[in-house]
Amino acid sequence: MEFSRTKFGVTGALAGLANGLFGSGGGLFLVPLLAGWAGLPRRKAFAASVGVILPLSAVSAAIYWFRGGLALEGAWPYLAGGFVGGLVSGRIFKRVPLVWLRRGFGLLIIYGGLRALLLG
Amino acid sequence: MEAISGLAVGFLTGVLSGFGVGGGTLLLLWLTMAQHMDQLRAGGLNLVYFICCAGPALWGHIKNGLVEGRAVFWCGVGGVPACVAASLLAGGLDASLLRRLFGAFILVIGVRELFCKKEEEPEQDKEKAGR
Repeated sequence: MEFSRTKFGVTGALAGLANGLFGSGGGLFLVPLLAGWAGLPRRKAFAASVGVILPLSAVSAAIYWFRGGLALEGAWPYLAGGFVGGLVSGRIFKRVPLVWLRRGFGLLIIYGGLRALLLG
Repeated sequence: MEAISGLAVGFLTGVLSGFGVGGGTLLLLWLTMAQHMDQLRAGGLNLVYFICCAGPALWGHIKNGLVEGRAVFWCGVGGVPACVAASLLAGGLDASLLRRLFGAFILVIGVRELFCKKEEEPEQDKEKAGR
């Protein structure tokens, strides 16, 4: 499929809107749109979603910080664990069966969808 | 003890976050349900957490040739301004209806993903090789 800047730009904008409005959830948009609409192969869509959510999280964290909402006392074990988890993740991602990724992701967004739908 | 459970939870959700399958959602659940942290503080921690975790994961994905740079770039071009604008708007806006629409949309996708068929990746590889 031909590369379309517009499709990727719009996909990114939707993820940014979701993240900005709801605090999170942009990632739930990204993989299906990147793969189903913008034409990225599935596994690359998962990898790209990590790359897109990273700057969006940085922007949101900065806004939290400016508003005085960032309280990180006692957070270091999570941050350190997450760093090591991320390293391991990057190493093994290539070998994880795609169908596991898709089904795991499916469960997650069903949860996210139900929560958003019911709690409003 | 708390440090050890934090490290373990951070690690496990970090592996999933690095895959792009939403470890952050699980971390938020742990922080709010098991640790009784308030939603705002947990949300802030989750954002900083994702930065710590996505950095090294992304580095691995890039080394494995799985990151389509221009796709990420153009998503960022659309996404970062939209995120800033929406964050600034969010305070003065009732996002309830939008959130419900969003929920319905991703619910449909979730069911489709959950029941997806197995043999999609080899086809894409074939398609790539044929180009």
